[in-house]
Amino acid sequence: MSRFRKKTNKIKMANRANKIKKAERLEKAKQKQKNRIELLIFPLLLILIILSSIMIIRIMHNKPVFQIGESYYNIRIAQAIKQNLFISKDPVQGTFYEPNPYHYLLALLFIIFPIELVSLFTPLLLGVVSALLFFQLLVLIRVRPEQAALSLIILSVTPAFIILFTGLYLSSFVIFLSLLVLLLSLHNKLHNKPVHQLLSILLLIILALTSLTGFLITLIIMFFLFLILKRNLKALPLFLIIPTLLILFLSLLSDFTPRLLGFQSFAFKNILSLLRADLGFDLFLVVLFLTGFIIVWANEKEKKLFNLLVLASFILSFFNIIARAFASFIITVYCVVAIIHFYKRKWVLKIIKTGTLLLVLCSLLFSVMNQANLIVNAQPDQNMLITLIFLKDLGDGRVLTTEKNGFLVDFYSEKKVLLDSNSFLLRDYSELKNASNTLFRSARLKQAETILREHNIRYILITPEMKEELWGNKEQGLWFLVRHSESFVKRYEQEGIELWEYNGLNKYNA
Amino acid sequence: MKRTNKDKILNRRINKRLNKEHIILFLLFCLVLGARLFFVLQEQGFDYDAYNTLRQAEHIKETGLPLFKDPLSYSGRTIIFPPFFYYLIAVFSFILPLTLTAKLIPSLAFSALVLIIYIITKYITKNRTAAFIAALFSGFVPIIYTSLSQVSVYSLSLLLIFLLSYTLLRIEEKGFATLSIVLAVILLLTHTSIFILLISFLVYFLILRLENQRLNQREVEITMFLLFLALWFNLLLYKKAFFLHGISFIWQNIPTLLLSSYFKDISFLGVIYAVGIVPLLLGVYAVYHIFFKTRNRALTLYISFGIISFIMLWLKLIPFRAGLLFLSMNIIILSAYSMKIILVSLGKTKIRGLPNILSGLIIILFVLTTLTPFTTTINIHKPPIQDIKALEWIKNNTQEDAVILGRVEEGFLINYIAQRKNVADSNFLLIKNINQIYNDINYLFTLRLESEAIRLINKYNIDYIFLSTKSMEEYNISKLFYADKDCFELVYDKDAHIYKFLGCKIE
Repeated sequence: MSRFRKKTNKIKMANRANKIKKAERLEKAKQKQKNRIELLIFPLLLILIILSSIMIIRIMHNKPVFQIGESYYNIRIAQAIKQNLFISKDPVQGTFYEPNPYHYLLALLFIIFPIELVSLFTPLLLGVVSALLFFQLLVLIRVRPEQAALSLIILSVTPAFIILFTGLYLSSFVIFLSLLVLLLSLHNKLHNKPVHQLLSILLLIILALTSLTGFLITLIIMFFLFLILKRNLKALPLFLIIPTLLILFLSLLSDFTPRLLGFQSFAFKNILSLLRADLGFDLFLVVLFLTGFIIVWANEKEKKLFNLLVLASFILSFFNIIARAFASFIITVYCVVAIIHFYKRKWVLKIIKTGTLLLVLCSLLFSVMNQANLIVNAQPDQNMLITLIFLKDLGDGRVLTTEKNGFLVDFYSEKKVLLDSNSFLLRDYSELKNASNTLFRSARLKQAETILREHNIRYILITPEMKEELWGNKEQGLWFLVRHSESFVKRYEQEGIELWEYNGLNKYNA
Repeated sequence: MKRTNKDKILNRRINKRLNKEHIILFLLFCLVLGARLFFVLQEQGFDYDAYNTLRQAEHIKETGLPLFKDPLSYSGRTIIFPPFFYYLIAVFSFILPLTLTAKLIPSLAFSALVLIIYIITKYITKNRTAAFIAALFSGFVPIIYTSLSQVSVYSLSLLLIFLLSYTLLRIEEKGFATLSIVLAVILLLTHTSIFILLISFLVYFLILRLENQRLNQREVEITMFLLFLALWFNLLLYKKAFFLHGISFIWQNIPTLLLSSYFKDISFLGVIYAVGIVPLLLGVYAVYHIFFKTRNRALTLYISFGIISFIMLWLKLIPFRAGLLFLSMNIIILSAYSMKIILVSLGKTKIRGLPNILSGLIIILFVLTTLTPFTTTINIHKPPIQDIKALEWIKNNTQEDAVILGRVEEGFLINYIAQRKNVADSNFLLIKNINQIYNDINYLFTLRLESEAIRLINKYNIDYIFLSTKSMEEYNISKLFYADKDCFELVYDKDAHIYKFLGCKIE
């Protein structure tokens, strides 16, 4: 009896010990979670403050929340989808439209929420969630949480991050999807569960339909991370085959053409934000990244494969804009390594330590201020809006302006432009580009009239930026011609923005 | 008794401070300064570009600030530059006349370079004779004398950059770190050339790592700090220029047609011509010795510096003359090491005085081989007096806001002497469509078609056309072809011509 009692007592005690251990483990996990949340509060708040303040400053300057560019195209197409679920043509330009999940998501949001709300909160939300996913991914690949949190701080001042998440860009959605897929497929608790695998495949399909380049980059990153984290490689072919087959299937059955977009030739002006790249790196961050990379390369020899991948992606980013968006996230980890190295190393000269850290801090501030300044000062402003709304009320006709202004004119005036940022997909792009360049240079009416008639151009929109970039603020080329020829009538002028109508077109058509 | 003891101690101290070495070095400094001033003071006037420096210094003297917003250059524009050199000239011009100061300061800086080269080479070789010969080379190397009529900012930046390299070499010693920072800050405020030294330091570290040598922590730290400082400072200063010109900012937005005269192809013969065959051969031998026979950290730095200067010259990333200046000084420093090897080897022979004989021979050989390049490089490139007189006429006889067309090279001259607006000058930074402007200006001197000329003249709001004797020579003309009496009036008709535009328009 006593033996039995002793046994039961022992079992009870063991159970109790187990319970205590469990509770301790739970407590530890909770503590860990709490610590992580505490760690995340500042970076996420910083991200929110930076992104939202840029948008708010734009609004305070009486400017639309988004700077000139892709955002206007995405909103316009989403609005068109909201009206008609299956569109095959760009409603304004009349060019072929390939369905993109991002536009459908925006259309869905436009159905549920007012457009202003979606425009303001979608980029912010995507930014914060992407940062959170990036943090989780870093922790997953064994980056210390403190270091991962610091990476988010660096990320918040990265020009590419600021640009991507203060507008409605396809690349920002690609980044978000990619991070989500990577996290789902790599998470040690989730990656083996069929539901999560299925979800990953589904997300990969959406990613492939959104951007094939983004999809391929994600797969390459996934492959290397699978190797490094020693995950089961069997799932990987599924991730590749199913979306690829679907893309092939779609391209065979419909007009869908799979394209690897975003490639451009190497040029510093495409890479460095300092040279006004559309999506570039900050020069200081590049220096910090290279310093961090050398430190990691020298100290962590077992991670050479991973470092090689990073280097390859950095080099690839010189040639592809989507790769640059990815690389902007990746380099932050190395920047943090460099900063921590500067902070922790035993400096022989104390004054130099303080000076260097101060300079690093100043350079980070410079990076964010510079980018914020660029976005805040970017078009469209109130004058441009008034001009475009005025143009909307005029009769039908094609508009000549720069490629960069194209989406904006499409959006506000609902008029076709000769060239916009999507025109490079057209077969006769080089012909159109030549026509546009010749027109801008042309100060002779005969030469200009031939092209204007050939391309049915009725309106010419001249902005102060065009005057500066194309004609060096001196009346020459087309600007000279429209001002001194009777074939052109000034329809509107305000604060340097000029809208001209070519009246020879009606006579010619008649 | 006590007094005499004190005197003795004082005398000893003075003797310790002022020994034979110092006296010889001082004499060498005086010799170089004398030689430079002999050539410089013989001629009146300056190189075309020097007039910009004079104007900046004058403006600083009057207002305390440099001319960042220039109403005359390009008929009104913004200029960005590090202003220390102009301030230095302005400060000294309170004591001496400005024109004399502008001649004296660069000469003093180039002569002081002799002292810097001496202390560097003495520190590296620990041999006074070798160091002295190297210093002598640096004082009389032909490339130094190509800038006689210029008020060259490189005179100061060269001095500072080599002094900075010296302080960085001795960074372990007390006070040198602070001195390095001070020098770096002055250099940053003088010129952008600090980047050449910083890149050289990175190559130096790389070579040391390849040779499995340990890096000096202080050197690494200060290089890192200076790199960040230089990047930050220059980005803040030149941000607008970066935005506007992109990567072509490196080439200072120089018009394509002019680019080849600023950034020339480097040739072996060119280097011999600039440096002299003796320093070059000795320098090359030093490189061989350092890489294959011995190790010397300090010389590795100057090898790196030399390599970077050469690569930058080769890739046309640095103006030709400036690149050759850097390259030649590095070669001279390296040559001191070869001389030391030779002198020490000869010192071991039984023939006494052989090292002295050889030192003399090297100097004679240097003089003989550099004499021809030396005499041919001393061609002072300055505006003729007839042109100056014509510009003075403009100053006295035209309205203050008149725009004068001259060659691009004469732009600063128009601003300084005539005190009138120019169409363009040699500072191309922050100027849009510079190629168009440059072509238009050339076109305006050679055009025959009046209507096109009038269109261009109206485009730049030109009031007067200054056809200098140099322009006549360059364009091979004696008058403007299109200048008829209806639209143009020849208001100055001497050796140079000045045409007044009467305001015609093309309908």
